[in-house]
Amino acid sequence: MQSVRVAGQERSLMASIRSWYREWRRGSGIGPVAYVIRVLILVIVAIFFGVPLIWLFLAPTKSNAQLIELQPLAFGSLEYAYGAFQRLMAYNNGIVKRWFFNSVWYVGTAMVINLAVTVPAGYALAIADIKGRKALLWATLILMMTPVNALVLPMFMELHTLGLTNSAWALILPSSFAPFGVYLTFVYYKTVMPRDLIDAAKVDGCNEWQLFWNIGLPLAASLVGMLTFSRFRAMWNNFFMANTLIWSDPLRTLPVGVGVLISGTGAILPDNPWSQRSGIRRAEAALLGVITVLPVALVFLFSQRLLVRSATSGALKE
Amino acid sequence: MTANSVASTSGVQTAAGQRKKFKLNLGYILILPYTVGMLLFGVGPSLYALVFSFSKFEGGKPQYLRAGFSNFVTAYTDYRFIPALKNVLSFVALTVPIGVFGAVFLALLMHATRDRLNKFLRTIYFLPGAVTGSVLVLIFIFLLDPMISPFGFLMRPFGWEAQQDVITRRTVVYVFVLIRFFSSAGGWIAIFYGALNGLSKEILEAAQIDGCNAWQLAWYVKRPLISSYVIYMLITMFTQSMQIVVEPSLIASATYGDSPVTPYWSLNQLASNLQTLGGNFGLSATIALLQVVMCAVAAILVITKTDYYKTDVRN
Repeated sequence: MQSVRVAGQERSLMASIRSWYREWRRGSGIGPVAYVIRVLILVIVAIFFGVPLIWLFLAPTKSNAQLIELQPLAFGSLEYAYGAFQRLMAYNNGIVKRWFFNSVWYVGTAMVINLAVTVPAGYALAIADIKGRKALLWATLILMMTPVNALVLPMFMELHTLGLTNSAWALILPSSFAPFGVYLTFVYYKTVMPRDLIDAAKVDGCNEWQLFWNIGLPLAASLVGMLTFSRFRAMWNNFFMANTLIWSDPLRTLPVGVGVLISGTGAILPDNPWSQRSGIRRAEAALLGVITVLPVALVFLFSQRLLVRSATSGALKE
Repeated sequence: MTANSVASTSGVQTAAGQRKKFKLNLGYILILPYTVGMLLFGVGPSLYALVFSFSKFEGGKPQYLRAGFSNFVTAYTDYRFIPALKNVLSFVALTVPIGVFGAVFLALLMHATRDRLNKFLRTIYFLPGAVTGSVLVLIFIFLLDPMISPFGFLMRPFGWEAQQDVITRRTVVYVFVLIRFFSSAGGWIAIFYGALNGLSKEILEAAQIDGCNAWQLAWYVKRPLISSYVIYMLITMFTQSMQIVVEPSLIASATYGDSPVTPYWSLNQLASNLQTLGGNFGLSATIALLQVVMCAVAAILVITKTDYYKTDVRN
């Protein structure tokens, strides 16, 4: 039988393979064949998600004609991309920069308020002893189901009465109290704070405040990660309410500005005369798409660090 | 902590006849800001919309509660209503199971083993959700043109040679399902992955010691432990799918000639149309009410069957 030398000892080939296989299983948790199948499936799905993004990032380098004539994933030219960037920044006296700043300011402020409101509320719904807990959960759920177009006119009238329409607070306040985050937080605390953990804390002498401050809040690290990327994305891409509650061009958010710019110039349609006159074509529209994606991507990468492994690991010893 | 303070925490009187100390329940303090905001920016406008559904609108001005049920009759007997309802229900029937199954499957697959690939994959899956609506349409206009799309080799064997061959009245619902999966699955995968990371390491190790292989661990241990999140996704996806409006509106504006998507393809489009063209907010409010009722019925079924609101600590 063929033999190999491993760590200074003669071993049969089969023994070496079996040893390698055991090491692999111990390290990764699944066999090598299953690992390869796993990687294949995940990579195929990644191609479905990634190729359109690659197309988006390459589109600003190509003219309308090149987008049709060249291969879909071919690179155009850096000069064209730079020209597209200049045309975009020159559009309407640099309004795109204003829109970007507006989005960062509105969404950043709404996120801070949302986290401060949502985490305690979700904790209370999952853990605290409060009357009307189920009613609040049902109300939250019903609100999640209510179509935005049903709320737009009442919301407009209410904010108009408060003198807040066509201002940053018209978007910041409703976004800060959106129900989706509270429901997710309720689900999170329901899962990560079992009865045993709470009983153990109370036996150790924790009152309700200490339970929240010393256990509930530290456990919220993963939750903050989840809320940050999911709510940030939803708020950043909010179109309908943002389009209705704010109508001044300098106060618009970036996604609304993109929508207005693309529909106003007809940039998506080829050889559109308005598009040619304004200098905004498909390359510029794609570049706007890239600019819109980048902040969400950065926030996502940052929030991934907060999705730590097993926040309650070691908290309970059976 | 002393025994007395523990006793006061549990609300027990320490001696008969002594006045109970007033104790502020922390839960009410924590829930207060959200409750106020929810009433102001959620419940209030919703109730207002409900009043609108029973109101007349003349010259754009509401005459509150003067319409009785006439708005409901007008909206639900409109010739566009049933086709819009059918379109939305067929979209929901496809997108919810595909979305939920796809996201859960991919999250479990990623979590099966720890490697650097996971972080890269999560980012790739998530980024499409960051693309705003009108740019998403630009992407798909190119992706669904068999002659210029990088996926053209998948479409040309079907005899499709132009975008109009791919996006037809018969296939448009599948196009919307594809766009919805592309733009939303990544966020859910990231949430499920975060939930899987939050599972107790001891439970997973105990299952492996008991002999679970990776598949058994994923299906019989991890999946039930994240079921609360899966139900949350089910309810949210059902709700959001019922309200589809961005994809059909943008595809309609970006396709040439005889568009396969009418301005009334979905219920939300019909409602927006009635609102903006007819100036009758009451009509659009009745359609919104129907959507809320349908979603609520589905949610009630799911929540009551699964005891969803019960926690380890509270009933």
